[in-house]
Amino acid sequence: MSAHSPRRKRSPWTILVAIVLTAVVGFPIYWMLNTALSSQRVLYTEPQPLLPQLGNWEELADDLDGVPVVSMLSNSAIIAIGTTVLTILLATLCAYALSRYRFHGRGLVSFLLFSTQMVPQAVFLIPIYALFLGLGLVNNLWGLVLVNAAFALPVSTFIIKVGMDGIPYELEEAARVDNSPPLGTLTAVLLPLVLPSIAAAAVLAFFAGWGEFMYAATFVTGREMWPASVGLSVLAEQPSSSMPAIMTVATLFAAPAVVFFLLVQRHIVSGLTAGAVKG
Amino acid sequence: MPQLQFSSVAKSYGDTQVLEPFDASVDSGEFLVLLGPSGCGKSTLLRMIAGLTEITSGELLFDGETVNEWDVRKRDIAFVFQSYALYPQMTVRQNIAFPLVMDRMKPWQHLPILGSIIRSRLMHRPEIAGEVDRIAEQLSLVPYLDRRPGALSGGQRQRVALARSLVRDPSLYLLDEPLSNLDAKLRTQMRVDITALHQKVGKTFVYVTHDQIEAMTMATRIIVMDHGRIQQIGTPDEVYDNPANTFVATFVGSPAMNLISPDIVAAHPTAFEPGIAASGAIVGVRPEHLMLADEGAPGLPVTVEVVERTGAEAIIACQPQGQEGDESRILVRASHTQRRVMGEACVLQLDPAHVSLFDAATGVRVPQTSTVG
Ligand SMILES: Nc1ncnc2c1ncn2[C@@H]1O[C@H](COP(=O)(O)OP(=O)(O)OP(=O)(O)O)[C@@H](O)[C@H]1O
Ligand SMILES: [Mg+2]
Repeated sequence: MSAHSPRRKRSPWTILVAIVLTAVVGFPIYWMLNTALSSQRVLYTEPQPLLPQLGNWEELADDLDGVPVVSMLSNSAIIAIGTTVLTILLATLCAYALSRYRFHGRGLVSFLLFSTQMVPQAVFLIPIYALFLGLGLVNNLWGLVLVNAAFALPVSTFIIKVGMDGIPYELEEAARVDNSPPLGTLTAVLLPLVLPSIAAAAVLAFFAGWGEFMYAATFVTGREMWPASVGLSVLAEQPSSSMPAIMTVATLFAAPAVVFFLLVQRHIVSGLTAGAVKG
Repeated sequence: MPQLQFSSVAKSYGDTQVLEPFDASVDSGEFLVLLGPSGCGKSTLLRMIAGLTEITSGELLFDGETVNEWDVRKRDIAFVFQSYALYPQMTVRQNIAFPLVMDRMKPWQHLPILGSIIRSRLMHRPEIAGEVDRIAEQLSLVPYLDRRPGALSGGQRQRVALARSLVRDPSLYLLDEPLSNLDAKLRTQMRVDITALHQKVGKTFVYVTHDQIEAMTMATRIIVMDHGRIQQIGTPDEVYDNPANTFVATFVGSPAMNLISPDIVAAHPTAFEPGIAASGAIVGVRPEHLMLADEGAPGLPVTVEVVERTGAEAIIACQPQGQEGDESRILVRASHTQRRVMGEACVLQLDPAHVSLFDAATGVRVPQTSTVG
């Protein structure tokens, strides 16, 4: 039975601040929903009603006709999930090496990881495009997965490395003594303990892949290949698009990211290694 | 053939030598205790046997085979870590079962998710669950089986660490101060339990401790270490009765062996055997081999400083006349019926059969000829 840490009693002030913050952060989201449900005519002729209007489904369906919503979202999902899986896989292995092995050039690797963060991503747009042309990765979702993973990797590696540094090496030694092969030590002993760091890195990588626009807009030309970020911007730029339609797509674009975050954030906790070693 | 053999085994970290080259061999079924003060290299030596710490030079042999390069898993050992090294995300039950579960898993079964399903399946196998229950019972851990290590006291954690290593059936048990955090009663009980286990399984044990009672009561042989150097290897009796040097003489035994400096011996030549007085050596004698007699009798004149009664016996601290300070103080173990008071003048008589002589310059034991009797 895990011990519950005693919760401090919350003062009214804490609650007040929480309410204000929630309102500030939540209002734009509410307004997005509200706009999505309104009718285009009302929006352009009257002050927008404060309460959501629920009678405009048909108009909305008409407006969205011809917008490839499903393929946009599924393309985004492929990119985001691909980016997350690839990033976590590579970042975990890289973090393990950086955390546990003392090899020549270890400092250099850490420095190079960070130096990638000093250059704006736009700088690499043309070179990578040229490179991907030759490799057949332009107009290809996997090309975007590769690009996004490359950009998410340094910070993810760093986050996971810090998590691993907090795990006593003796636990791995104990696992070896207990006849666990390296894969067993990784999956049964290490991964559960770095899970919080991996979850944090996963959120980062997922959002990077889900929301990325610049590379997606440049590399992907076919309409059926648009991720939601590109599709939404094209939709917003077309004078013929209705405001409720744009806001509906924006809502659909935001929702999976929120769900993913809510699913994963439960794992971002600390204090997992309590009781492992003396002292 | 000895099960464990060290040939010029040494360890250094960069320029600091933490273990000087030494030779030793351990027979199958022995209970070897590594005894020494903190920082003398006991854990380092134990970890080298386990394969957790690399051997800098020399060779370590298991049954005549060099194992320097062997992986930990190939060595088939059980190991209790000085720091416990419990898996914090697992319950006590899972911790104890872990080695048993690992023994039964095939390499591919360790894949993520699949591995956790298989592990929890194996946990419920009667042979594993029964073994875990049995060892938990023996170490009084039953009430804590479903807790995580973070919710245990230090002594409870130590018992889990012990349980996890004893649950297996390895060919070599390596224990690093497994009882250091237990209270006196539990420690005594565990001492008996481990000795009984050793007798039952008949396997080789290497046991690290800085507690000489543990060393004396459990060991079939003791290696006494100090500053990375092996000071003496011998049975508890040998180490106690014939210490190899002044370090062993003072480290083993409580209270320690008295060391009487050559100047005091020279000042009172009649108090000692003629051979001893002439040798110019440090005279070592255990407190139980000293007797206090009334003033006037032959012997070394002393003044009683402190009388400490411990129940059945009394430890009487005296000071040779004309001396003061900790250096020259002599402790006598006497029956509690001895009535001595502070400041009383007495004479000290040595049992000549139990006198050790140490070279005044090097502290090394000097072989004796004159004290036969
Ligand atoms: N990684 C290391 N690098 C440098 N020196 C080390 C390292 N590990 C241990 N030492 C040194 O080696 C010596 C022996 O350490 P060891 O842990 O074996 O002592 P010990 O006898 O087990 O002590 P204790 O009873 O306190 O556990 C110590 O002086 C320690 O400082
Ligand atoms: Mg130690």
